[in-house]
Amino acid sequence: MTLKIKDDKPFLRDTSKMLWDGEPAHAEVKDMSPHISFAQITSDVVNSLENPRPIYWWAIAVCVFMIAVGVACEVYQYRTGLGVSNKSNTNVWGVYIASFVFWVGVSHAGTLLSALLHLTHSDWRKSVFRYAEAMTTFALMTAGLFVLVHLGRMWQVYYVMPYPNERGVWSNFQSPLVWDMFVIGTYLTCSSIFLYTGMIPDLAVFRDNIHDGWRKKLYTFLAMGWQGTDRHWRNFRVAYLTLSVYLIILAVSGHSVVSSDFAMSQQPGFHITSFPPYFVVGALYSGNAALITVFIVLRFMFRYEQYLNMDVLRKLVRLTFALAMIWTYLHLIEMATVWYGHDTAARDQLYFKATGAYAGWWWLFNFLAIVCPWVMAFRRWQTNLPVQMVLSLLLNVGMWLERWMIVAPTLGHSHYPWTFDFDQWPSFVQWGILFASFGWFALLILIFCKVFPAVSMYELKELNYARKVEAHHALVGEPATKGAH
Amino acid sequence: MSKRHLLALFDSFDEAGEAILELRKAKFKGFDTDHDMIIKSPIEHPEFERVLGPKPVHVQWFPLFGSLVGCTFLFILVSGAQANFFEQLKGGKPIVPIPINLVITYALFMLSGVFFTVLGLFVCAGLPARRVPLYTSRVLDDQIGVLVKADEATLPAIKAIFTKHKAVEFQEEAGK
Amino acid sequence: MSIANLLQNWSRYRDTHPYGGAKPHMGYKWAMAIDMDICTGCNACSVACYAENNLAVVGKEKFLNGKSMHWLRIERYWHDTPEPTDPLQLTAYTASGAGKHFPDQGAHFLPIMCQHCEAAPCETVCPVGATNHTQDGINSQIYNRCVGSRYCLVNCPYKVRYFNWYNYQDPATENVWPEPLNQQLNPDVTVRSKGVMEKCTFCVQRLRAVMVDARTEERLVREGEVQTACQQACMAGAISFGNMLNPDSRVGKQWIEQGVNIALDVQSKNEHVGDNTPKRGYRILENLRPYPSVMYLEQVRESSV
Ligand code: SF4
Ligand code: SF4
Repeated sequence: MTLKIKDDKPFLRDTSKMLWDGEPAHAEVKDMSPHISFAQITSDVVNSLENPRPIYWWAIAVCVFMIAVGVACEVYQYRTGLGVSNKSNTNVWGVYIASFVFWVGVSHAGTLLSALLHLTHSDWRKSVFRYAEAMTTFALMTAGLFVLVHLGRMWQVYYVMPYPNERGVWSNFQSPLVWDMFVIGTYLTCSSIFLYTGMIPDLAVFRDNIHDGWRKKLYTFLAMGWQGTDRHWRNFRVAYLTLSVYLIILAVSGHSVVSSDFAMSQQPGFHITSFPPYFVVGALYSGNAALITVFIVLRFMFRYEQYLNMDVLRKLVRLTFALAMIWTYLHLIEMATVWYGHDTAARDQLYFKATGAYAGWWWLFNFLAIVCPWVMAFRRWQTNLPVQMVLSLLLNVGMWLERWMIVAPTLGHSHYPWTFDFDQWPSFVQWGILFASFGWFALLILIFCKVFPAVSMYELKELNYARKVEAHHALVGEPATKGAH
Repeated sequence: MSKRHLLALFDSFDEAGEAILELRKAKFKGFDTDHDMIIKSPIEHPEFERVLGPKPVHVQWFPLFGSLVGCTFLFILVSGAQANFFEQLKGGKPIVPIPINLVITYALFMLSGVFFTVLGLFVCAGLPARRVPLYTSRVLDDQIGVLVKADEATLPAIKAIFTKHKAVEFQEEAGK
Repeated sequence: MSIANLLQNWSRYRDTHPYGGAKPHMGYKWAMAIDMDICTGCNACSVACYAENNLAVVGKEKFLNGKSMHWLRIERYWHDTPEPTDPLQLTAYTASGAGKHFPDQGAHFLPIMCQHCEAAPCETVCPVGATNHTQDGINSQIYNRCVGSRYCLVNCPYKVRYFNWYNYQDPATENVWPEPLNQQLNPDVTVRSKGVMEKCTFCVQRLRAVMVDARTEERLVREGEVQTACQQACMAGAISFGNMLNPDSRVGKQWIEQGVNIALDVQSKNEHVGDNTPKRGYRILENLRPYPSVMYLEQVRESSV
């Protein structure tokens, strides 16, 4: 394929207005060759649908097995009653709620990457944001399962929805759980819409490049007749920008509302004002760590070495480290506030976490979530795949433990001394369902990447084009951008 | 005189842009440069699109309208639903607690905003669309297409301009 | 849910309770007072509650596992250890007995059931509105509506709600009323199925029966016309229960006597200068502002007088 941008031609417009105003230089991302042609990008991504490495099928099998374990546990719990998960009348919430918060948290990184970095014109996100957005949607779907599993009578979950009915009975809009339903529902709907809208141009490419089978029908339907006309692009640009603004607000309000499940209650250890920002940053932190895990897996499985390259990884890792440090600060300040205040119940609760029955787990989480991310500060480890793989998994273990440590020890130590209750070790049912949730999430991601473009083609082409423009200007000695930085 | 479509494919934005500028200057009879010319490109390029002249975008009014209507509707719905539980107080709160309702209203503010944004995109961009007769998948791959609709008589002149600016390929509607 | 209704009654919908102007109680406000000076901790009330309200007897293993169903439980606190020096243990220690430790007197005990809070924390958080403040001032629990999110229990400061972890009437597994024990189930009360929350109802089935009678006779329920099962079983008469708004009621008089105002979170009872009658009334965890409807009368110990 020939280069579509001729370097010897003068450009049409004032270069400072090229792409977006004040677009910073992309000089740092070197791995994706600037000489790669648009057609190459198309064929790489289209081909990734056809020939993943064999490990892909093994991964699917493992996921299905994991889901089977969880389904077996859930069937047992459904038939027998929630008692088999070994909770008690004091420790009424457990792994399920902790995992719910965890999965909602994982969903946040996708929004950060696709929406916030879109607004700030951070170009390096262009190769990772599509699967990150998919992670948002799928993590929310996983979180939703935990709500069902958690309920005593899940077959009546529709009571939570406000639907008009003969008896005039509505859900209780004062309950943070109903806010959750509203906000998480909104978030899930909007993130799927955002994911789909951003994918329309790519689906049109698939429609044109795949010639038969159910895929052709699917893409033809989903692409909605997209032809890349100026009218399409013009409106698409504004709509996508608007959607990303909404998504950012939604992500922040989403996890704030999840945190109000805790912060709005009277329980010492839950009733903490700084919970919303603490939860939001924690969500971004663990979500970003999960992004790194998926990054490494997809890079290998779908042969995306060219696009999911080391410089993008380095940026992701740095972002994660920064978020880890913000989170650490909020975590410490939260403990400091509790310690400083004269709320004895809350203070006992904190001492209990550090010295009581769950102390080992509490310290382990502190180590994993506060100390471990420091490895990311070192440049030589930042692009070391095995190190980052292990590290990102450890960070997520740490962040899951963090959620569990918010739920379990806190409920075991409330205002009322008679109900102090220390040893409710979750039974295999809870662990089994947690285990399955990872399989479910991974399965959704794997299927998504095989059916839809996991890497955004048109954004990569834009990145590629912008870089060629820059290379041209470097050649003819004009400043590529004015007013950047 | 019947009008016909002509699609010219270019390798670069610059060549396509120069061809369009020249077409606009040429002022052919029966050829409205604002409406009879469409660019098709694999990537968005806002600056390039300016050669077509001012083309306003109205998508942003949809979410504004949607959000305001959505949250007003939800506030009334929620308050009205709460008023069903007349004299059934909860936790020392009033029956219609405004701060609490605002939390939910806020969620619907965004939900309806997003719905209306997508609606706006579909309406303004004319999606779902039928494919026009002259379509090639290469405009979504790596080429820039310029589709013009003009009188049969002017087509050769237009074609000449395109050729001058290194159009690599032409597609023409069959004559009637 | 008409808008007209909303606009017409807006001020009523905006009233707060119990400290605002709202007067939601239409003739009734059921309340309780438990005199710890008379209470012997014999557990008869607890047993009576089991019998009246079809509570499941879950067995030793599940009891130890924290899955018991005692709506009314007698809590015991022991003060046989010297005051700990460790601040950590001290807080828990003082919280359980307000700093009064008389090892020679043995255990403290406290019967506790749902306090039927006027501003119940459990009500706001229920996603489906299965628990509400009724017009006669009790905290209702609607089993049919409950989805089992257990948020109410998390937010109840006293942790007096009990969750059905199993289906206790399932003949195959957890049948706690095998033949002929099922014959003793109270027909006025549902047997709850798995996955719903339950708690003390102030024996609402008895209340409703007499309230319906009273209404047919176009009057309010008289004092002494209804007793809760625990009150009935108490051989010492430590529990008094009744309609607080009735000036004849024993419980209403006790609350006034003890200077406990149901709508205040800090009682001014100890500030009366020149009033020498001992004021023993208190409510548990009043500072969290749930405004409970159960008042306790402190035990008078010789050593502390
Ligand atoms: S004591 Fe607990 S269950 Fe009873 S009304 Fe108060 S908060 Fe609710
Ligand atoms: S009032 Fe009735 S339900 Fe409540 S503890 Fe006493 S006997 Fe049980």
